[in-house]
Amino acid sequence: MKESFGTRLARLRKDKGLTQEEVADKLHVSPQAVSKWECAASYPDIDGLLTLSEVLGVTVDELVGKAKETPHLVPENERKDVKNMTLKVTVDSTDGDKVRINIPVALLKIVVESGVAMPAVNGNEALKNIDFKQIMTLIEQGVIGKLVEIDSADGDHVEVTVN
Amino acid sequence: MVIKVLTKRGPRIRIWMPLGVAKWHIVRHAIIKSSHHDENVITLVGLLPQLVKAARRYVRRHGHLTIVEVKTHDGDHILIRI
Repeated sequence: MKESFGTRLARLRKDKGLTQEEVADKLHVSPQAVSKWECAASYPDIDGLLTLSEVLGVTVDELVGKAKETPHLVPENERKDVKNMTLKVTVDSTDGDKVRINIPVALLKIVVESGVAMPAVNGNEALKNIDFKQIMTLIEQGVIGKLVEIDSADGDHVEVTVN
Repeated sequence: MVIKVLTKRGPRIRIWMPLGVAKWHIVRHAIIKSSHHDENVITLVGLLPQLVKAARRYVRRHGHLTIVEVKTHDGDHILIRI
């Protein structure tokens, strides 16, 4: 499930160590307005978004969820069931081919626990060294987002994201 | 499971295959690629029922599972979806 604007705003605010009142003060709005944004009862206007991004030290893209997710730890009570999570592997090769692989985390868990070596995608060198066991440990500890990003010597770009 | 191969100029191919049949194609492919007595293949065969079950459960929850999607630089589009 995609993270909502309100949840993302609350997460970024807490990451920055700010209270709703402090954010409201910097934006010259009421704390209730910030609370409403985080509860998805209303949304800030464009000027508010720009100021918010400055206050929180992120880009507007990241604030509205357009930017690729940075890895973050989900609190234990907000974590999704592993059965509902997906591991996405994207490979953008230099010759212009784009490969997208989606693996349900439940499947990955079965394979990792069995100790079977993960097959490389069409011999892609960059994927061979990814430690899926380590990735599974991170997922179980509640870390989601972009966990791996590789720019290989031959120009391929590989990303492993969990959501 | 459906395999779609949509080429830019050539034919558009759609292959429907029961998941139960597809899993044996995966085993066959793994055996061909492996060396004799490859422990990975033996373990993989043992895991298949669990993997298929987990995939079916995921599809039931999410409607579909696009396992692989490839867009080539020359415009071909290959999709493997359960």
